Amino acid sequence: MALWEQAHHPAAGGVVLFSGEVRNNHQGKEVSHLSYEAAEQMANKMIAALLDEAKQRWELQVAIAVHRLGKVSVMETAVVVITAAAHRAEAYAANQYIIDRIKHHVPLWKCEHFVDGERAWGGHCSCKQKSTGNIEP
Amino acid sequence: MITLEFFAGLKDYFPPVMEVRETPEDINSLRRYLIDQQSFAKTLLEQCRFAVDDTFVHEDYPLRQGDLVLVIPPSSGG
Repeated sequence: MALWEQAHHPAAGGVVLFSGEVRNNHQGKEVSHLSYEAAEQMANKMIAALLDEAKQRWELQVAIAVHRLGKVSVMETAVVVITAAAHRAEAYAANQYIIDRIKHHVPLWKCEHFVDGERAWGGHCSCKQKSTGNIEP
Repeated sequence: MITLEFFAGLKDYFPPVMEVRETPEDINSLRRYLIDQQSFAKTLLEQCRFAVDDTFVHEDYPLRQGDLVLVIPPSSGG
């Protein structure tokens, strides 16, 4: 709610909020919860630079991204991206760009904890297969 | 000597922080050194990126004494 209060701007006619939330299943397995870790200092720097880049590219009035670390339960929010622009097209495009970059480039990792006690790092991103890989610096 | 920091699934194979006494020439040498140390982590290490001073570096980046190197598995945020 506090983030949403920061999302409004007199010059913004379109505000988009994306909330990445924890599903209760993955590839047929029941998920108990997720836990996240990050190379925190580097991740914070990258997200700040990413928001600056998106603001310039889409002339955003507002760009906010917050990613939780530690345990996140089913139906809870793991990541929020808010973008506000003069028109909705820019707000949507910028929002998708930011969340895609966070998922694939920022040093952040999820660990899936399943109800059966197993755990697995990574995965869960349906667009991962389309990615060009992670070797590039 | 350089210091390495490991994250996520890599911590199943390496401690969170590890020192390497003899500084490898570059990132490529470091990657090969790590694969030699933990062959079970080969696939994951081949997918990793490396960062120095919180910036991703290329395979031919020359390592220096005292560098802190982050070993970064494929990202999976969101």
